[in-house]
Amino acid sequence: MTELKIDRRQLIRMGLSSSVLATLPLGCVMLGNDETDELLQFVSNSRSPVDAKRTGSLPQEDFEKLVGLCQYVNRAWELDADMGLYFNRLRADLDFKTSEEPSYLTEYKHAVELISRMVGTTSSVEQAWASLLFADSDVENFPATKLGRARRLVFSELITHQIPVSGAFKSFGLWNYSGYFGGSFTAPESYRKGAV
Amino acid sequence: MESIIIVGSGVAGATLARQLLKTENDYQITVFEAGPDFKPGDYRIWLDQVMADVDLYREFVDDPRTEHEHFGLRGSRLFVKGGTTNHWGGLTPRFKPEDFELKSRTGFGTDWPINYDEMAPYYAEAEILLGITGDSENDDPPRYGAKYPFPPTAFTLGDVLIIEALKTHDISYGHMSIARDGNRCITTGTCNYCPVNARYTALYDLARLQDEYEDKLTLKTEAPVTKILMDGKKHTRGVSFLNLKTGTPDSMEADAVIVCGGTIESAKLLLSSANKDWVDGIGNDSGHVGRHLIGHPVMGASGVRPGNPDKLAGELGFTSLISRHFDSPEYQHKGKMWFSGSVGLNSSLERQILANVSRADMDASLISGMRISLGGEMEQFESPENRVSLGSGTTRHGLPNTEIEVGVHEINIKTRQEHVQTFVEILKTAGCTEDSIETDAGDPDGAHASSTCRMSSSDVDGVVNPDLQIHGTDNLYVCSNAVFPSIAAANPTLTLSALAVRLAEHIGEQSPLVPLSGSH
Repeated sequence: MTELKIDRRQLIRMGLSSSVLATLPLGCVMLGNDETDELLQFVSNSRSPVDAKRTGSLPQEDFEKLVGLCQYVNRAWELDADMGLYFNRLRADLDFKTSEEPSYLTEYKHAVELISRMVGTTSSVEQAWASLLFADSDVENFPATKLGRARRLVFSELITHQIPVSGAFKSFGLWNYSGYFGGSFTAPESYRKGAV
Repeated sequence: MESIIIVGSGVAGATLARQLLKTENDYQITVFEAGPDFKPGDYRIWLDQVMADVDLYREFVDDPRTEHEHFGLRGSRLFVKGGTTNHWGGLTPRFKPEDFELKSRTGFGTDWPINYDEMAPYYAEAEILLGITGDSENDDPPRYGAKYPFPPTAFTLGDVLIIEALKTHDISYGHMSIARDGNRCITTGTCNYCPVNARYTALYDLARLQDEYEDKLTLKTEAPVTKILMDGKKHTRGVSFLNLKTGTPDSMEADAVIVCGGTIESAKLLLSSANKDWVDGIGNDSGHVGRHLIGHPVMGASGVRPGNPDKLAGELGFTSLISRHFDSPEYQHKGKMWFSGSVGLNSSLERQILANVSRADMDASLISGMRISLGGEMEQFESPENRVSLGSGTTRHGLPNTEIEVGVHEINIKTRQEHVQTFVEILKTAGCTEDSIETDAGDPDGAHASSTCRMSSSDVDGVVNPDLQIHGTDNLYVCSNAVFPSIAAANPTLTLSALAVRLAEHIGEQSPLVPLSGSH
C-alpha cells in the first residue's frame, strides 16, 4: 500500500474544521492514495446496497465498531445525547435494515472492515474517524469505492439517524426535529408554540 | 347482492368504497388500480425515508416519455394503491360559497350546478373521514356548527413572526386544516410516509376496509382498466382491464361502474371507450370530455431575516398557518389565492456535520439568521382549449399515452405577479433583507388537475350531472377532480372526498342500481 502523509495544513485545505482538528493528536492522518488500495477498491455503482438479498443480524462486535462513529460525532460536536438509550434503539433499527431486503448487511460489514483497518493504522480513534469521514475528498468522486460507499450508505445514514433519534438536535436549542419520536404535535412540549 | 366496480384506488375510490360498504345495501365492490400494491405504516420503509432520504414513490410516477414540461405529470400523481394520497401534503381547506358561482360572479368559466350549502354536510362528513385537524370556530367558509375531529394545530414560534407582518399589512390569517390524526401522531416531519398512518392516505384506508369487509371488497392492483363496456348507449355492463401480473387482457361485469381515475385518466378512459353509440367517447357527444383542463398556478418567495436568537427552525414539519385573505369574493375576478408560511434552517444539522462544519460555526450560523418562506396557490380560469387527449402508443401500464394542451389565462399570469409582489412586501416587513429575497412562480401542473369531465345540469355544458352520473347513462359515474366545473384556490382533495360521500349516498338510494329491463 502506498501511504500519503497529510499534515494539518492539508487537512484544513480539505475542509476539516478546527473543532475536528482539535480532537486530533499532533501528527498526521494516513490514507491510501493508490487506486489499488482497498479503500478505493471498486465495489458497485448501484445506489442500492450490494448483496441486498443477504439478510441476517449484524454481530454485536461489528455493531459496536459501527457505533464508534456515533460516539465520535457525539463528542466532536458536543451533542450531549444519552448514547446508552440511543444505542438500544439503533441496534433495533439496524436489525430492521439487515433482516429485510434490501439488506444493508454487506455494506455494514464492509464499513466495519474499513473501521478496523483505520483504527489499527492511526494513532487515535478520533483520527481514524476524521479520516474515514472527511480525508481525501477525492473519494467523493469515486462513490462506487469501498470508502465512497461506506460514506454514503453507512456513515451518512448513521449520522442522519443519530441527530433526530438520539435527540442530539436538542443540544442546539431545538425542541423537535424531523424523525424524532417526541409524541403528537398536539402534546404541549412537542414543539415551541407561539402565542398570537 | 349488487356489484359495483370502482376504477382507481385514490381518495375518491377509497371514500366511495367505505361509504357504500357501510350502507345496509348488499354490495360486492371491486376496486381496480393500475399501479402495484404498497404497504402502509411500515417501519422499514419509514426508516429508509429518514436515514437515506429515499424517494419512496419514484417507481410509481409517470413514464419519462409522458412528461409534459408545461403541465408536469411526472411526480405530481402516483400509480399505486392509494394513488396520490401517498405523497400528498394533506391540506384540506373547504371551497368557499363564491367558488360554486364563478360564472355568475366573474363571467369566467362556469358555475357549479350545486352550491356550498348543499355541500356543507358532506364536507363535515369528509372532515371526519379524513381525520382533519382544524379550527371549528373559523366560520369562513361557514361551518354551520360542524366540528373538526381534532383541534387546530397550534402556531409555531416562527409563525408568529409571519403573523406580525400580516397584521401590519391588514392581511387576515388562520389555522391550516390538515389531514393529521392528532391522537395517533408520534413524530412530525416525516409525514411523507407516516410510520403510524396518522396522516390520511387512501392506502391505509383501503387496507382497513379490506380487513373489515373481507368478503365484500376486492382490490385488484396492477390491473389498469382499458375500456368501459356498454350495452347500448345508456347502460354499462362492466370493464375490460389488463392483468399486468400475467400480461393478459380480462374483463369483469358489474351493475354499476364509478370512474375515479383522476382528472387525466378518467377523461382518457371515457375517450378510449368510444363505441358505435358513443363515437367520440362515452359522455362526449357535446365534446367536453378532456376539455377545460385546469390546475393551480403556484407562487412562492423566501428571504433571510438577520438574527435568530431563539434558534427558530421548522420544528412542526408541516404548515400550521394559512391566509385566505386573497381567497375571497373581492379577488375572485382576478384569481383567488391562499398562502402559507414557515421558518426553517438553511441547512439541516446532519448536512452540516457531514460537511464538517464545526460546532461553533453551526451555533453561530443558527443564531445569525433564519429563512422565512411563503408559498401559495391560486385559482386558474378555464379555457376549452386546455385539454387532455389520447396520445399514440401506450404507457408501461398499457394505457394510452397522454397528450396535453394547456395555457394560462393572461389575467392569472398578471395576478400571480401581484401576489408574488405581496409576498415580497410581507417578507420585508417580517425583517428579511431585500437582497436576500428570491421569488418563484410556476404554471399549473398535474397535482391538482381538474375539470376534464365537468359537472353540469345539461349535457350541452358538461359530462356528468349533479349526481356525477354521465349524462345519458343510468349506471355509469365519474368521481374525481375531473367533475369540478372550476377549481377555486383551495386544494381539491377535501371537496373530492365530500363529493364521494355525496355520491355514495345517492347510489345507496338507488334500488336497484340498474333500472329494470326495458327502462333504458
